[in-house]
Amino acid sequence: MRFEIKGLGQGYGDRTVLEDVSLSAESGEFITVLGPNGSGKSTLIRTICNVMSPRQGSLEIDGRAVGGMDRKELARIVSYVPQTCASFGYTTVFETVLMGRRPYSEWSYSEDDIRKAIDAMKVMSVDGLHDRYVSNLSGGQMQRVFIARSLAQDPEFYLFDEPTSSLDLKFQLESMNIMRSMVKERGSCLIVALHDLNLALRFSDKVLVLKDSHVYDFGPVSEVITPRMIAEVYGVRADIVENERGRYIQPYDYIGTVPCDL
Amino acid sequence: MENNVGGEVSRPGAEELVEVYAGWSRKRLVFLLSMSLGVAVVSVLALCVGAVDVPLADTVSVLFRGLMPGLIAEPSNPHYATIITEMRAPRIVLTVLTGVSLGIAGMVMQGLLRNPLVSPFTLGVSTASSFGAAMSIVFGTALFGTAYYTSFSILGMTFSFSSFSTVMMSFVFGLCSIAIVLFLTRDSNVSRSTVILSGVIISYIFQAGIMFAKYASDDDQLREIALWMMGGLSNVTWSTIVIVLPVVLVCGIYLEKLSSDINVLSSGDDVARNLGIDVRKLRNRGLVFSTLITTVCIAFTGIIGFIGLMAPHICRMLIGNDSRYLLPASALMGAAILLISDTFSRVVMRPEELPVGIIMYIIGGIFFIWLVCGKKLGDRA
Repeated sequence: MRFEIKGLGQGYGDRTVLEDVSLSAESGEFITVLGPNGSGKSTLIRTICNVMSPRQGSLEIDGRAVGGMDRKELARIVSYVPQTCASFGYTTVFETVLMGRRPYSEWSYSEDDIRKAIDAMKVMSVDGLHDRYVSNLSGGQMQRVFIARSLAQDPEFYLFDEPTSSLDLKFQLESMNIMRSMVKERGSCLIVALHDLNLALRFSDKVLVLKDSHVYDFGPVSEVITPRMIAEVYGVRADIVENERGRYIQPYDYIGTVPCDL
Repeated sequence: MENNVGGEVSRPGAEELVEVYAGWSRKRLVFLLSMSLGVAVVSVLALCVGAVDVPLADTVSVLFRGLMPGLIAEPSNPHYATIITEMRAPRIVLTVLTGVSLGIAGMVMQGLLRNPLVSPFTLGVSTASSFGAAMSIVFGTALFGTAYYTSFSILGMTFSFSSFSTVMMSFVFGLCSIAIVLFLTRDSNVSRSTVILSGVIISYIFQAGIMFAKYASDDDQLREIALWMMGGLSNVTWSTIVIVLPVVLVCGIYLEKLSSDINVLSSGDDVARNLGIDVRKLRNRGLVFSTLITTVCIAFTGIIGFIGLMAPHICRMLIGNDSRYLLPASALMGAAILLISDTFSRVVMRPEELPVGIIMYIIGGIFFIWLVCGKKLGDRA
């Protein structure tokens, strides 16, 4: 499947957050969205999954306008995990993951739905927490539960907004490996907003960089993540070091002054 | 339901987890059946007590003799049939329906707005209904002239115009409050906090109207307003039930149909939208139907507080947050709480009767202190 985004514009009130953003994503691709704080990464992810209607531009999946698709049909194609998720009161992990099957069910869940939710819990190692209330979990555990719900949704396109921000180092790598295997083994497409340039460098196929509401660059990871991009977009001087384990970014200085209220 | 908090977690097998889920469903069904049975038993006991006590055997005889005339003996006193069927049964049925309505409305509003403190009170419905009733009581003559003191018949049932006008005005203004809230929050990106805040603001405005009505009223009217706002279930006839029952049934069934979507909303608006839910439509419909089910009852009973807060909370703690089960459970819990409170209000000072609203405020206040002290509000949204 192919997701085509052309000339996308988005904002809140009078404030423009995204202008003329275009990208295409296909099954089997891992795309990372990078950019400094407030550059519009989360807004882009929310707009792509139709949680927000775009102000300008078009979103198409295999030539069909996303806005014209049935909500449940779209939910079977695109899943979304926001940066922070809510959980109200006494809702268990199992019930939360099972919500991912809502686009396939009516009032009740079938045994197939229940088994798919169990599989998703096992993949994200939250099956041991199945009867815990989500509101009592740590931030990292919650994030794994919400990724598991997204897996249960079984879509073609996964949209994750900072999915590793609350995870410890081990779970960051494990979650990214799981996402990578979803792309390689299941042929899904992932569009992930990240802050960690090293994770982006290590796991992505393509990178989209946002700066000042516009696309700074979009292309293969090795061409986009460069010391120049890091300096121009993040205001940080960095080297990209290569050794037998791969490439990684080593920042050594920042450009200009850090605001005094930091 | 919850275990292993903070401890070492074991990894159950897939079959074990399938059985766990089935077990939860069974537990919830058993709870619903037990609650239904409990409400039925309390209803029968409530029929027995009052200014005149009717023995249980006679109550059972009045209720079931028509079904099994050969097996059940006649009641020992011929007046018992009138007391039970004409005086107490309509009251008990309206009590159950009101408890059901307020329990459902509280659960739905809390689920839709992901806030455990939301109820028909918070969103201004009760205050607006009180305003309507107060306007009718104080300005009925000015509004309707001499017609205010007349009576009329519909389908063989006689209504006094003054009572009818109070019921209608409280019903209409109750619905108006939610219409204003929905109008103020019509922007699709409005947050749920704004919805709650709008309800609180509406409540204050109608409160000012109530104060004005009280200021303009004479002593009798003031007493009538005060009694209406305390809530009460006296003077109920079968004609009331004929009006209330269909609305409660239709709204209850419709809201149960929405319950699966309300579940998804507990994970946040964005996630719900991504899972195929039209959040704005769901919230608007849920709020309108839960207001309708509330106003149709409180128009007849006056203000009965706290059921909409207590019933869903208690049930959430007992069977979890799955709205498909929580909705009927809250309905039955609401019915049970109100039945017990109303029965207590009838017997505590008999032959006089205490307005049930007073009992509810006492129970509700104690419940809230327990919630706050025990930190059992359980919201992390």
